[in-house]
Amino acid sequence: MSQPLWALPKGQRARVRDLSEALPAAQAQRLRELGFLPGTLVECIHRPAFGAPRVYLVAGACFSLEREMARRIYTEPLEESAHAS
Amino acid sequence: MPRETLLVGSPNSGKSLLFNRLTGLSQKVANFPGITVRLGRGELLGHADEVLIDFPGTYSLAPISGEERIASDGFQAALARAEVQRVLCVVDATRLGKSLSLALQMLREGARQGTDVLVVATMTDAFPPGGGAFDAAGLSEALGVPVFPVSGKTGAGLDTLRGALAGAAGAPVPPRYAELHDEALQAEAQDLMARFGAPGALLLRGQTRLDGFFLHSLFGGLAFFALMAVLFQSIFTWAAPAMDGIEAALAWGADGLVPLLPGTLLKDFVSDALFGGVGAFLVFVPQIFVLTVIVGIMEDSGYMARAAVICHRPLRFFGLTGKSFVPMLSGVACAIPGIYAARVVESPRKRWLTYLAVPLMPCSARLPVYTLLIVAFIPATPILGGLLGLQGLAMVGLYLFGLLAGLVVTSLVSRVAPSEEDDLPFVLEMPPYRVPAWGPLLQMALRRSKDFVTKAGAVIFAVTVVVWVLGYFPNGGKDLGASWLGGLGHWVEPLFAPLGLDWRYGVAILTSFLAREVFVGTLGAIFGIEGAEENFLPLADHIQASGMALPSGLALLVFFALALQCVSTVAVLARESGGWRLPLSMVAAYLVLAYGAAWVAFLFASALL
Repeated sequence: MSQPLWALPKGQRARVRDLSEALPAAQAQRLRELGFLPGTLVECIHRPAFGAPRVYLVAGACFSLEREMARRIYTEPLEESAHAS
Repeated sequence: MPRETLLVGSPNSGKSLLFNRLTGLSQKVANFPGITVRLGRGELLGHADEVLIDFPGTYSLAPISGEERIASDGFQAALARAEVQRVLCVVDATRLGKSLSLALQMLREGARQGTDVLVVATMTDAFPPGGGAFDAAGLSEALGVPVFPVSGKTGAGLDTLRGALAGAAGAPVPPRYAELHDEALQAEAQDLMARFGAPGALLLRGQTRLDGFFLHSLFGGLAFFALMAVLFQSIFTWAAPAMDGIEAALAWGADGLVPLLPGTLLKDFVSDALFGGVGAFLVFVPQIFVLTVIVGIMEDSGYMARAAVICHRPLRFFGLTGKSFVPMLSGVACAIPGIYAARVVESPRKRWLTYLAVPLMPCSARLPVYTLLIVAFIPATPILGGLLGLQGLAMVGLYLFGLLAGLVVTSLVSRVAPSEEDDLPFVLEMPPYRVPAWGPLLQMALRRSKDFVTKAGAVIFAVTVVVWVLGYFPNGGKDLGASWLGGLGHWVEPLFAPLGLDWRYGVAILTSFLAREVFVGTLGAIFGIEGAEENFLPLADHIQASGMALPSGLALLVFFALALQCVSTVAVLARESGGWRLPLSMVAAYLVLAYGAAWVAFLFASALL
């Protein structure tokens, strides 16, 4: 099961599965360089209202991503037991 | 020949602060991704033969924005030069994830070009004491190059680094990096991150709490408006004592000095052109200082990135992006840094739209004109129980007017001329909140004020002297209307008559196309010649006595809010947009807009008042 990063509720973590084919190559590479690599843990730390860009924690840094970007990053929700890492 | 070291790193990695610490220069430091927009160059402190070159922050050598392309092209070109023997790659020890890709790319370039690479891990002070310090030795062993842990804030580790830079060039990069593919590179970055990264959750707890407030749907918005209100009110209230002081000092200086001078001509020149013209403009320097400090605090503390997030949706409605907020707010200080800051906007089209908005932002050069006219026409009545003055409110209104004008222009243009171009989506790093580095901040504000005095001051002095000579001769200042300046003024008067402005204001408007603040100097010189008495009077009093009516004052304010009267802005726009077409069209379009709106304001105000 995979869901877009944009759908991740606040305070929850997920593992990056892959990036959408619809992302232009340069943008996909940049996301990978920022740490959005398959298998990496991401956490949604803020979801401001009114569709404002949301803030995600990945590889120790925080990035705010707007909807067009975050819905093209596919994630797998974590089992609760995986929280130990 | 001095040896050169290239300083590279990801945005927000503490690179500019490190550069300042190593060279003793004050490169502008701000806590917003991508603030270094030109290459800094400085000698290593105490070693004139070691030169450091500071590159703009970039996440990667594969650029996606205009700013990154500059960094990446410049880096490749610099690497090819013989003087360049080393690369100093800055990684943020607290957030290795975003720095390691670039570091490995640097090692790859170094291995291919035969250039040494040193790694500096910054922000080591942020590691909690006893909570597992940063493992520089381990990272160094894994990378195969030296790693220097430093703290730009406390200065720890800097002496060792300086010593290493002054000494031997360092060890060459292991050749295996030359063959590293992009995918293998990212896998290696991920592996290193897992082994040497900071315990992220620990470092981020405070940041998350503050973000919970500043990015809150309700409180975040309220905090944003409250901060903006403080910004605009403080320009008036905090700068007021210093402004009064300068005014009093000028009056005292003029009254004391002028009678001592020999000859009427010299007396008149010093009192009219120097004290009247140049002095009238010096009064506004404290406001520029205060404004620069406050905008600097917002950048330095990390709040600016949050403001960009909050503004993203509303700005998108007007055809812009959240990142346009930074150039626009810089534009409130001065359009020139605002236009440079527009490089953070990756999308070419959004950047172009940002260029349209920035010159309409109420810049500090408009401040002297606004203040002068507000003091002349608006009474200092306290409102809201003394919390705000009527004059402060008028100033807020003018600022909002400029901001709104910019947004209306961009939303109209973005809708009238839609584009097929791909837009780059919004991705922005949220830097950790920091207490601003007060020293560099105050230095920068002082330097900006000094620049304002020396650069704008030189133009104002020259214009003032010309205006004074034209106004004083051929009749020795006896009759301004019959002087050369009067002749010129009467010739242009029909242009300004529909706004109810006489020729003196017409001449001042004409000269203000060099730079807006010249308006004040020109009027100062004109009224200085006209005023028969020798003692110094504030310019606002002269304006009140000149018979200009409130509708004309409003028309003038509207005109200055909209017109693009700044030679430097036009030149910078031409450079940044890659041609003269955009800036010259903007000058023409905003001139028509300004005159039209001023005329409408004059008609309305005349009918109502």
